[in-house]
Amino acid sequence: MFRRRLGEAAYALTDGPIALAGLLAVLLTFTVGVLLVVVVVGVPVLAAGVVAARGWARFERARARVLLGERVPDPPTVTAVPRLADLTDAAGWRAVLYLLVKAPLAGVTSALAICVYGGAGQALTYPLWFSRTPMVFGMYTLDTLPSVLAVVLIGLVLLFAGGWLLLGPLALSRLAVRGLLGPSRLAGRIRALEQARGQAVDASAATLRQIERDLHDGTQARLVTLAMDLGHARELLGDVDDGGPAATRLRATVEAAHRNAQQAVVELRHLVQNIHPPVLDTGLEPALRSLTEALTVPVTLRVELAGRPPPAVETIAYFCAVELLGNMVKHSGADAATVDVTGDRAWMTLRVRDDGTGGAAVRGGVPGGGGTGLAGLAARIGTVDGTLQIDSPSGGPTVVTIGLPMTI
Amino acid sequence: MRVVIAEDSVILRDGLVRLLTAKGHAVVAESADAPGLLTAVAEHAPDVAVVDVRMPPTHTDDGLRAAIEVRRAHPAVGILVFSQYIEVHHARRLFAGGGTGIGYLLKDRIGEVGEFLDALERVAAGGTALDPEVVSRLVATRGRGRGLERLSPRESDVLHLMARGLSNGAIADALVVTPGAVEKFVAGIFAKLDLPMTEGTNRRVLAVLRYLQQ
Repeated sequence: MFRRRLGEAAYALTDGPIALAGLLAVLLTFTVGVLLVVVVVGVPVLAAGVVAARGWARFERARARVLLGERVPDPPTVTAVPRLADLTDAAGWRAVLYLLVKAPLAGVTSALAICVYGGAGQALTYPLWFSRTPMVFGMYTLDTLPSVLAVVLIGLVLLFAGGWLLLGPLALSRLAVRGLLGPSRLAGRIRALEQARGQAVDASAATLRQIERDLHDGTQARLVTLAMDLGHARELLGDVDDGGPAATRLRATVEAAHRNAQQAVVELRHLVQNIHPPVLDTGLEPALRSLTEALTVPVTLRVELAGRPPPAVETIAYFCAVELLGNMVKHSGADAATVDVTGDRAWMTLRVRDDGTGGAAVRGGVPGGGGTGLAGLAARIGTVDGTLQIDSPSGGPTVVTIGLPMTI
Repeated sequence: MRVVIAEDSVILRDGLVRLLTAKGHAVVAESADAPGLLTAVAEHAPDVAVVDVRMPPTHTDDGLRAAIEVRRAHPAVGILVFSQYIEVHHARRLFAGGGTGIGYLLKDRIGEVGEFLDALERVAAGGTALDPEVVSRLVATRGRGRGLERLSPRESDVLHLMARGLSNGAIADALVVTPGAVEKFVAGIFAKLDLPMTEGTNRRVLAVLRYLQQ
């Protein structure tokens, strides 16, 4: 309790100067920004102001947490489109509003705190200085022992009552921090939806993996064994074949069964390859290496990642590469291509470049049309808030850049 | 032949035991995971080991890594590796230490019993078996502008079979020509690709592989 009061006092006393500094910084940045808007450089200045307000908000949340015990979660950071987001960042603008609202409130709070605690301090230290400059209260000079003690008593009362006096203004400050610096209700909802979607994407990737594993361990092994036994049966029939019509029919039947079993093994292999290529389990780089090695056009592959992306992101990146390289081989007429995968802990980029004839574009909603593959790609990337940029002028070269988050 | 089988699917493992036993071979040990393969080979010193690439503990390429380890520790043991999918870099890792007693085949090939047993015997005897699919991919991706287009269709066929590890006699049988004709094709291939003519099937396979992988 005592620590909380102490914290509140510290908060109230520092509130005014801090809010004033914040207000001045905001006014300065925005005045400069608005004045410079005509010469374009004002836009980044304004954006910097919003970013700075967010930074200030982080400091304010920390101050409220440490001194007031007011725990406010950080608003969600905008990661989807870096840089462009700054000017449209709602949390940033709410921080600006906070600074504007907070300045007068903080002024009142600090003035009150200075009066109360300043007065209390004076009264409590009165015994030390009353002999030099005694207080005069009306016609009485307060220099007798009882009157000095009375002043000290008043000081004590002020000191303890001060906490109560400040409760009102501090409650308004708490309200401002909670209302303007935390995640808005919409942002909270978005975060919940993002989490739910991330779980759904993860779960579906895990399900596909499990299906693949079950097919490999069960169905595929059984089919290979079946084909093997039928192949063996066909050989054994050769030993007993007497050339009669019954033997010939039996032989034809076994051969057909063997052929079908072999075909089923091949079809299952292709099916599984499209669900979840097992080589992806060892990582994105070996999977891409395997993919590029199987192409008729030479592809240079470079992978520099800070860590392993989540399985769902690896799968999306892999199938994007499958689609893009498939298009490259089929349509572009390119002689060579490069695949670059780079990234840090937050964001990865997959760039496919070829020296073909260009003209690639997303043409959504045209069934069987030339660009439906790319439209499907865009949809897949969209499930994790990724980005897709296609630069493919007629005549080439084609550069497709895909951005994907490293966390979902 | 004395055979060790490392395959995590019980169904397929039993099937292989049935087939190999029926063909008069002895399956001396079976293993369901990669560490088991290493101990089985150390204990039984078989002629050949049949290994699945994907096995416990990690279900990725444990079998392949164990096979490479077997090669290092027991060079006399032939190893025939089966994979659900063809990965050229798997083949490359496997053949990096030379091509004696090594095979890498798609699992589908087990269904062609005759070819499977031929490959197994070839590998056990210190020969080579490389899946046609690997050869095709290498020819398709590395062959451009490297002289392969100068080969006649027949020479191209012979190159494929040669890279798979077949002897001149086996190539002659497969293409229904005389062994003498095959020798002429082989000489033509080595001349057109500017490869040094080498004796012995394995060294020939390695020469071709090196050429295709450059």
